Amino acid sequence: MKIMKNRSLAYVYLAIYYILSLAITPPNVFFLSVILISVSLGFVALYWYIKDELLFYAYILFSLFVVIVPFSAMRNIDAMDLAVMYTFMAPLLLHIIAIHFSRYGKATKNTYLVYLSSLPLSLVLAYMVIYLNVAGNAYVIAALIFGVVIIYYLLLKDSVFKSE
Amino acid sequence: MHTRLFHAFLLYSVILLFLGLLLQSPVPIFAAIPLLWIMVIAHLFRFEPVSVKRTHENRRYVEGDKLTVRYEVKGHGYFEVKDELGSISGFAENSRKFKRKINLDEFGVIKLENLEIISEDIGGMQVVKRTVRGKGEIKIYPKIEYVRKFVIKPKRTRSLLGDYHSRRKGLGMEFSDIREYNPGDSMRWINWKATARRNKMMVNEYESERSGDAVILLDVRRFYKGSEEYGKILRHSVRAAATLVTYLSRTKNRVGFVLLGETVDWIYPTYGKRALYLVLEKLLHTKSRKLSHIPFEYAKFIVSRFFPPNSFVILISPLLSWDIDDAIVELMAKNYDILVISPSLITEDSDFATAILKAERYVRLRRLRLYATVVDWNVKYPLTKVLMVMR
Repeated sequence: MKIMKNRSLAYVYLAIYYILSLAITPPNVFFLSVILISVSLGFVALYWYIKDELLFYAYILFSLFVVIVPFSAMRNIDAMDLAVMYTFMAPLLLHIIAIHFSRYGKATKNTYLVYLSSLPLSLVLAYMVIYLNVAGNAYVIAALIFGVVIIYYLLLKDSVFKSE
Repeated sequence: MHTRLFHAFLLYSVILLFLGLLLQSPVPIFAAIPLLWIMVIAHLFRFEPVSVKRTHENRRYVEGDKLTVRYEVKGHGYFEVKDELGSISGFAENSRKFKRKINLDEFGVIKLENLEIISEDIGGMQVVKRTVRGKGEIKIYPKIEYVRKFVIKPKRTRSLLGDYHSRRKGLGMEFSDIREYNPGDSMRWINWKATARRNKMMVNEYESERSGDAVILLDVRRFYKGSEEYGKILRHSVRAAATLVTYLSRTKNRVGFVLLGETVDWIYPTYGKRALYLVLEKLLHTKSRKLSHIPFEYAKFIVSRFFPPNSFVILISPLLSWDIDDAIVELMAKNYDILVISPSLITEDSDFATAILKAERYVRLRRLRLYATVVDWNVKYPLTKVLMVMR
């Protein structure tokens, strides 16, 4: 019952995310957003019935595209636009938390902290890259981050098992 | 080991990066940054895979009891513990204790073999799955209806002492007759009043109290699909067998057991608690999940081969196969005393199918009553109540 309640709340977050994304979509890419939402909703429906975790990851991917489309259509992105984008991503992250941690009952405050703190940190990083022109341009920074993450991943890979 | 969520976040980030490069737009890259932050921040938090200690009070229970299982979870992170009793999940900070109460509604054995423990970190990025091999089992014995005295008893007794009055004279409590004193008779048996009246030594005679042989023949063969109905019949039949074996072993009879279910199994007649425990142990593992193709002939063969004639055979069967009738006649011809207890699930509905079933069963029981004692047992009522009113 508790799990069902958490899951229902998760889909409310997802609905809010779609509505917010559609609300700011310019008319020229509106159709594309609708298609992406339809595809992700198709995966949501399949996930609802089949309960395969891969379908969950599939609709999350399409949902990420949904927020990208309206902002990509904008000519110039300022810090305010970025803040709006990250704010709009919050319901999607809440949805991921609610679905993923529903098997453990309820997510803790620290989990919300990990997920939601990533948004202001991302905003700070993006602001530093674009507007303060740290390290030249965004692509260099992105590549650096990816490098760090991949190395970090390779280092941590199965380290838990080794310590067991 | 990393979770699928971690791999998915990594894949999303790579896809968004390439999309950004392809479209020459920074937006997909910006969208990927929160995912990367989550992966990094989640690793900064403490994660200690949990270990679980499971304890329970007793090993033996009776249907209807409540089992309390205690789990002590140590570690730091989300956890899910799965075992034969179900699963528990939550978040552990250093140590956490859980108590789970389970209603033991069905008899059987719960083997506590594996304990599957899944631990996950605070961000859902790392997972540790472990399977701990456990030892032990919980035995849930069928519910036994207590009864002080039944009408049912073996008609023929053995030479050993027991609780049933025999036609033979001998040692016992129940007064039977007076006869003349014979040399060798105990002084305690002399009836002084009768001696004074007749002017010769008279002694009391007592009914001998003997025991008999009883065989419980449990027929739980399954012929059709319909697990719910068969499950009910099986449960009630097993409870009836447990009640009867308890009563018969308590009244100092030698009790044997034949089980006709998915396979044929039997226990040689034994006395007292040994018989009780052997039969109860066998009843614990009684199942009727598969369709059975075992004819009743097998049971007849086992009874006539391994159990002495004059035994009191109690057949507990829903009488779903027609070969039972002939087998009963043959056993009676071999001097076995037979009592048929037939549990039935036929409802009081007035539809056509129920009417046919009722009529068929009525004819069947009537035919069986010509040569054996038959108890038509509606499982809505306790067996002891039905047997109490039996004459």
